[in-house]
Amino acid sequence: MKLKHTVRPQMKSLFVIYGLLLAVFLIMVVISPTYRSAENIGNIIVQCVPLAVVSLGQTVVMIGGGIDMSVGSLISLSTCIAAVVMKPGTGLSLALGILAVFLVAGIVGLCNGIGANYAKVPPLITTLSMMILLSGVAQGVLPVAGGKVNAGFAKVMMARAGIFSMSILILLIVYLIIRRFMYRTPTGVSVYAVGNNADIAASMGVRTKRVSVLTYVIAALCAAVTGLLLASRIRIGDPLVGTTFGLDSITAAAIGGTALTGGVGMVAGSIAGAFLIGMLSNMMNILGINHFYQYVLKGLLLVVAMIIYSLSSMVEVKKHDRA
Amino acid sequence: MTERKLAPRNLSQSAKQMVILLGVILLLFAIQGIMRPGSVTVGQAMNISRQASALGVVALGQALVILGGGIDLSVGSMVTLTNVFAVSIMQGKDENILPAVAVCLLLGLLCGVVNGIGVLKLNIAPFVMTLCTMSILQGVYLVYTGGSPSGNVSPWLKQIGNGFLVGPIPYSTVIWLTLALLVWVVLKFTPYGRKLYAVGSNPKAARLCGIRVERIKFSTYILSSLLAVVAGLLASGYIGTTSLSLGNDYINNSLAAVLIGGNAIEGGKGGVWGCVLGAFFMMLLFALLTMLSIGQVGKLIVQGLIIFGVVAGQGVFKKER
Repeated sequence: MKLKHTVRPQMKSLFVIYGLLLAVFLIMVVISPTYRSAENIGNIIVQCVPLAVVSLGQTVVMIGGGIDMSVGSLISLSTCIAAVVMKPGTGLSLALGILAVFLVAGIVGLCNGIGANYAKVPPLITTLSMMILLSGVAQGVLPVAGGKVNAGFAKVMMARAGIFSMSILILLIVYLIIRRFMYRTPTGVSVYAVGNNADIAASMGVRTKRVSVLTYVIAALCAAVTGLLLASRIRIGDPLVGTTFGLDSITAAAIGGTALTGGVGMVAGSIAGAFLIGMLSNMMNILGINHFYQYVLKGLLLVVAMIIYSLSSMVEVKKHDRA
Repeated sequence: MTERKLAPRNLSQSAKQMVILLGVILLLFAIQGIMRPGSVTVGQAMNISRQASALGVVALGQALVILGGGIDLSVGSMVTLTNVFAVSIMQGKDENILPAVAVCLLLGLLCGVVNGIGVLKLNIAPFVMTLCTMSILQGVYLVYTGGSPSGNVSPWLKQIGNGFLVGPIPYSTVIWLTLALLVWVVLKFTPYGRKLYAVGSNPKAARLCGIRVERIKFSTYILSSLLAVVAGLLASGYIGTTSLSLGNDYINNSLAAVLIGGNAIEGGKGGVWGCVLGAFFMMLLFALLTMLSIGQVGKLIVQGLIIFGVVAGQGVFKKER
């Protein structure tokens, strides 16, 4: 089966976004000596990976024509569950903790998918409700940040050697799995079809609702991985730690070229989007920019990035029209 | 001819959802009456409408943007920014109110223009663009206040935010409903309104019909920011002081209010009164859950379930048509 044509038209926007990422990186490397240390580069990667992982899941949902606002709360909840269940510190509690996190995430994803597809509630409302609900549950599990994540587990998850780390390995694994799923399996390709036009997809024999439910489950499982990563980093559970991840993951996917209208997007782009967001804040920290100004700059820099991005795609469109 | 065909269909669809929403609101009042006998009064309903007015005004703007096929995530930051600037300029004195309002409206205009340029001239996805503006505005008010805002709301604005026009009817409710009426008239009886629906439901077709799609969309972002400023002023008057977290909940709540009111996120569908009811419903729900003194945990869980449930209920009824 030839699936490549679904991918190719977007390859160029992928180059642009990675070029942008590289440009930001090179500028920083030239400006700051601290920046080019292997230590810092390793830091950036460890800092960016949690957002990148959840953005991968978000991308799958968005390509399928949905949106998942609940991942942020789910990440918080995952850290809380992990910290509470793992508290005794035994091997059994560790296994149970990981299992519980993924089980809960799976159920949440299933509920999101069923709500958005079978109950005919718009995805935004379904996942917004889920976000509110889960933030309640997270505060029920741990009213304030606390608990304790298994020390050995955290150490393994945060293991690093120079610029290599467990985090990037996890990102790579998640990426390869999702990439394979999206581009090399019939179900993955039908995610694109569903996002493009669910009615046509259905008439072609795609079980659109099932496919869509699956995307929400994937997003939730990715959020669970992010939750475990964050929990390992902070070593406790925090019912508020994931708050910004919902909007940020959507932004990362959008920067990476995924359309909010569905049917369009590339998995690799979202990683670049997440790294761009993360690198910008790391850059501002290194330059010692006042924390308050960072909000302004982050917004401005993202706008600039998006302008470059949209300019290049405009050129693309013109070329396309001429041809 | 097509115009005639279009209008009633849109109306009946959102009307049906509004009737359901109204039913749910009555149900919430009934629950409140059973749990706390004697607490359901006109005064209490008016009180909720006073609390809902700021959200309601933000939701009006959000509804316009969504009708045009966009989304505005910067409204929450705009509310806080308005609060911070208005309060610091006012310094508790009535004579400073005009400059305060003027500055805030200018800022709102600027924010709307920036959003509009980003989305329409630079082709940035509305979600990302308004998120960037949100971040920029956050930075602006943090830098401006240095993290600790100061100042006081003037007595006049306090009166607007808290006082009553006649009997139990609060000023802010009147302002909210007047604005809603205005927006309704504009949507229903002016070419601009017709064009907005056309742009939202099918921008390509609208462009082919000679509608300046970009201009219409641009205007929705400006209106949304300006309405967020008005909401910020109302909210400032209500709380009487300054707070950096004032606008935090407005993004999610305004989206929920608009979508519960029967507006479609894809644009081109919906109306004003649904989103008015939606905002009222959200506040009534918050008030009810607070009144029943369920803990924060239960409150959030029930809130999530009910918002979902209402929209799911509306979907079930839609299918029967």
